[in-house]
Amino acid sequence: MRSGRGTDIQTDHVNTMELDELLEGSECEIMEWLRERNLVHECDCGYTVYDEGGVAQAAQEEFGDKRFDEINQWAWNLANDYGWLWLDESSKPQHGIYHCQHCAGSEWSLLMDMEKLAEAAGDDGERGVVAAKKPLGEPCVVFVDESYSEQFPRKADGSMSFAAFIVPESAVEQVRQGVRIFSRSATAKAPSRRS
Amino acid sequence: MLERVSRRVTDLIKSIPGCAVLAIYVPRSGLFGEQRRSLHAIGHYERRQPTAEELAAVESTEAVGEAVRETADNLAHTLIGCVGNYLAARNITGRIVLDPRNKRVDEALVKAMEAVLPKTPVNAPLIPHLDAVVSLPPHRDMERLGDRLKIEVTDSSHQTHGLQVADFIAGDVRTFFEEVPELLTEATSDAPLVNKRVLFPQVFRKSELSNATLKKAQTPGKSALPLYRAALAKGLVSCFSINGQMRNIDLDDGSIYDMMD
Repeated sequence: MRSGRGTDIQTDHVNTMELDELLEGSECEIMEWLRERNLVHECDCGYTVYDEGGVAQAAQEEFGDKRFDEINQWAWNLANDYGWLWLDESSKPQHGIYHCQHCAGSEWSLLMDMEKLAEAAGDDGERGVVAAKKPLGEPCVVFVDESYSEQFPRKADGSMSFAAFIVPESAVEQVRQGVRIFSRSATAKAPSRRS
Repeated sequence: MLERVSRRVTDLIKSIPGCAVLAIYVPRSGLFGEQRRSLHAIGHYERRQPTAEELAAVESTEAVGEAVRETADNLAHTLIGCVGNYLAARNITGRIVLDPRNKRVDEALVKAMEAVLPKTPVNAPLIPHLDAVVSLPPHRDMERLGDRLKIEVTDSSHQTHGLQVADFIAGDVRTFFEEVPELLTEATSDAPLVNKRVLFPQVFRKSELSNATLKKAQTPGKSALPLYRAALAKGLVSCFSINGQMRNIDLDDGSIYDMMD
């Protein structure tokens, strides 16, 4: 059953219900109670989604936990009773992204997410303006060298490696000084690249 | 003595703000395994199995001879491409300094890199999605590296100090992987990693190292790499697994990012 739209609109008026009224309420009454507490949402596919644990917790916070089992059972059964779906953990509420278990992981949901994430990125600065490019950092020098076992790759069990040592230009002198100091103090060489 | 050098190099690396290390390790089996994986992946997309002859040719005498001639340059391309992406993401320009080998080989490498580097796509979005990292489909207007990275071969004594550190790190990386071979064998199989999505190409598949292997990889042994791992670019070290899976490993949280074949 396709259910009504879940929205994140919160009203100033908070519905006060007794616990029995909530547990025995109609879909509309329950939906209103949940909407006021931002506990029911809509997946991009249109299905209503909710976090059964979060709903049970909210009910216990409001009505106490004397009827703990009953509240948990009620929250769990909302899915069966009204055809709602459970909120998938891949949801990102801070960006208004709510997934049901079927859409979570689909490329469709990723496409929808990216639109919302892009909007959120735009909201960080002037609307519609792409975030400013990072300021140009200090240029760097990248020293690249390799190391390989004898007759690589002819001989079995050999290996090769490449390393890049990236240093801001202003630190090249520091590298020179550092290497000179330990070159002087060490009589043995660092591992040879052809060892 | 080596231990003392390791300690000094580690201290030096740690003392330089903004410095970073990129490294890639390739075992022989991984080098040829990667080519076999490629054949299987191509076969997947072409809906056919590679023939026994095609697979056998990967390690033929001729192919091994070609690998002897070309592997170093190929890996240099890979590593320098990674450096370009790393710098572009930080909006930094750079100058690559290579250790000289012989003039003919060096000139050919520099010329090839100068042709390829400016066109290298950079800053492509990488989006975590389930057990994969996906990207946007390639398009004509993708950002390119341009002239942000220059390349030179030098025997200038002023530059040799930095090359000595790179030399040490390259050797240390081999020692590191020899000490923790599980990095090459965990969470991998011979089956090629192929793209099964339509809208967003998968770039990496994500998996996890075992806790025991992660702990081993974070513990200094003969290799000092665990001591300077904070300097690893993005916290990652790269390798080919034992069966040729190209992978990046996060040594902080144990995530493995296997590149799609």
